Amino acid sequence: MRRLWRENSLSIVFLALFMGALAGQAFAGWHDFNNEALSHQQDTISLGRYLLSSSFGNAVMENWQSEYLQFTLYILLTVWFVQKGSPESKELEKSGSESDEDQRVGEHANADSPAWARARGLRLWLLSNSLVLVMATIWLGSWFAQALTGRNDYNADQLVHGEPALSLWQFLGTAHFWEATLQNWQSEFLAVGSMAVFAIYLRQRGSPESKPVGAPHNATGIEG
Amino acid sequence: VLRSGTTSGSLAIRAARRIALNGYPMTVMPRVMFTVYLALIAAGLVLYTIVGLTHG
Repeated sequence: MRRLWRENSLSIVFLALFMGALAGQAFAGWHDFNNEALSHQQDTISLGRYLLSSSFGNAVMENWQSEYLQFTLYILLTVWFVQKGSPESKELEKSGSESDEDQRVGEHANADSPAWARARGLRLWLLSNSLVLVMATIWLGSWFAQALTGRNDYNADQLVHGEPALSLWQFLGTAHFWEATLQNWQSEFLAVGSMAVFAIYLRQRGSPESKPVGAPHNATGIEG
Repeated sequence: VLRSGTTSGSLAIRAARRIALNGYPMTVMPRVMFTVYLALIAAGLVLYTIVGLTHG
């Protein structure tokens, strides 16, 4: 068990943090939802009903989509764009998708390389881009779910105020949808950009996200 | 007495015996974590797509 923890502690800790934060969000969101309902002389709902509501789904999906957009773009843009001195960047001369030898594919694959790294054609392309494909799929899927649940949530509010309900297409054109989307995107882009730049001059001893403490500021693509 | 076979029951018994003899196969855990994360995300996406489509 100790070995199991030692070899997988990062994914276990983040899974536990995710579950805890989601439970906290659900509980707090449920209370907030019911407080709002009471202030409008409406019925309150159970926690189970709230978890299956567009209100909660929208809050969850809105954040998921921006996080997965952040990582999709970061994975993709760091193929071509570099930042001198940043451990988040590749070395400047490696900008691009790199040679088969660098990427250890085809005849350059090692004995312990994934089987599809030795393949050619579609299988190699899929393995070569699998991370971005999955992250982008999650981004688009959660953005779509955000739009669907957001529209329901928006329409519920419209009805309370005697306004007409909107179609999905109409909702996608509202300032409400784009404000909810872009407020998340801006914070993700700032966080990623600042992380790449701060890590040029700042260090965290022992973290693979940082350069080694003694590494020079202009060293690029080195991780601790 | 264990005999080799292809049923899931005998596979499970053989896996349990390997674990008892050699310790837990650690190569399994990254796959377990990969599957858990992917399943959680897929469940969330499917659930709230359905909620959105059914006007929940």
